[in-house]
Amino acid sequence: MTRRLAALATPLALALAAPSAAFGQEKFQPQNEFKVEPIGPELKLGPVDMSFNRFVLYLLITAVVTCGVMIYIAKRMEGRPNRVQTAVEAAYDLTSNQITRGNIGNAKVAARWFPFIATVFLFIWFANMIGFIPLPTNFEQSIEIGPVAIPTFALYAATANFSFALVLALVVWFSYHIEGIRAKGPIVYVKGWVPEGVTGIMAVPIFFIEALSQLLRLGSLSARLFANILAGHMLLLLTAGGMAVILASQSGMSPTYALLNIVTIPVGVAFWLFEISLVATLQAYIFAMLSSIYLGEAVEGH
Amino acid sequence: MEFLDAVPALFAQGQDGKAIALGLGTGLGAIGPGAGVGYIFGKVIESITRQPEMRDEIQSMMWLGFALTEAIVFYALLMSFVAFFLAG
Repeated sequence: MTRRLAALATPLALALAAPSAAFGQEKFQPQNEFKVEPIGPELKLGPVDMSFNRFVLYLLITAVVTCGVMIYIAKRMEGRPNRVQTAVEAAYDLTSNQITRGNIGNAKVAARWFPFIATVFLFIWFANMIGFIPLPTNFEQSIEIGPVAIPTFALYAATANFSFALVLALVVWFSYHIEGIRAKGPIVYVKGWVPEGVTGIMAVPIFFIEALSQLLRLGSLSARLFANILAGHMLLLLTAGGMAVILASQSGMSPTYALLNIVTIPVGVAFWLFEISLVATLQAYIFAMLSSIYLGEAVEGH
Repeated sequence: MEFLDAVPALFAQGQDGKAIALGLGTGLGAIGPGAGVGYIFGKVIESITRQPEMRDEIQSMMWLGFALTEAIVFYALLMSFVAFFLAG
């Protein structure tokens, strides 16, 4: 128990000490936490920015951790599961039975889309969880530990970037439309947007409203994930010292503002626990759940 | 986020309107979802006390409803950011 507490408290203490240490530096800009600036050389492919930045770094870490952890656990499945295996089995059960088969009635379609939905769930979950672990990724400031200078610890999540959520939402959006058209043919599928029982002239405005709502799904699916995680990170940033820094920056960096952290840091810790214990998992769950609801609806109609 | 960068400048130039827009937009946007989230959890407590054997099913629906309702605050937040950045 003590060891577990220490493992939890050490990164937390490091993360919380970082903004306070900023008072010693001349210029500290808390908003840089969310900036994506190229690391290393800038690569431009025409109008497309291909340079390696912090978002790409987090994306890579997430992909490697997701694949690595899941393959490692899958390879050492045992008859008498340990705690990690039990958790993974629970995640499998959740994605397979509750999320996919609970919403897609057609067993063939459910079997076809289960790998996709489980991958989306796990990928978002790992991205969220990695986002709440302080990692040395703030390349603008560095701490010197002996002879080596390492970047300052920072909290940043791949999911706190709109492009991550938008790309995932686009993939889901196109796949459920294509799956619906494949199952029912384009005309029947598009007609299926109008709820049953609506006939005659009223079907026309309702069809346009439904078509609009199909488009809005793209926005709501992506904005929900991205805005949730971004707001959580901003809250953590402000409570973990950003508020004191902003207030101090208006009055010539007076160090007395650091006392404000005594009040805000416990609040920040509480929010951090709330985010990792509920929000990270819930957002992944919601994204996977809505994806499979849309898929099931597209295949079956209303 | 650039908006943090803009905070001192706002106070300096007396452009308090944008800050008010951001605060009011988010705050007013939180009223409805606040009531909605409370309603969801209240109803869930009611349903579970009535039918405890349905607990798992009700709870999975509760999380879906909770997350869908809660997200509306963040739509308001996003729109407030738009007002904050884009308003002349």
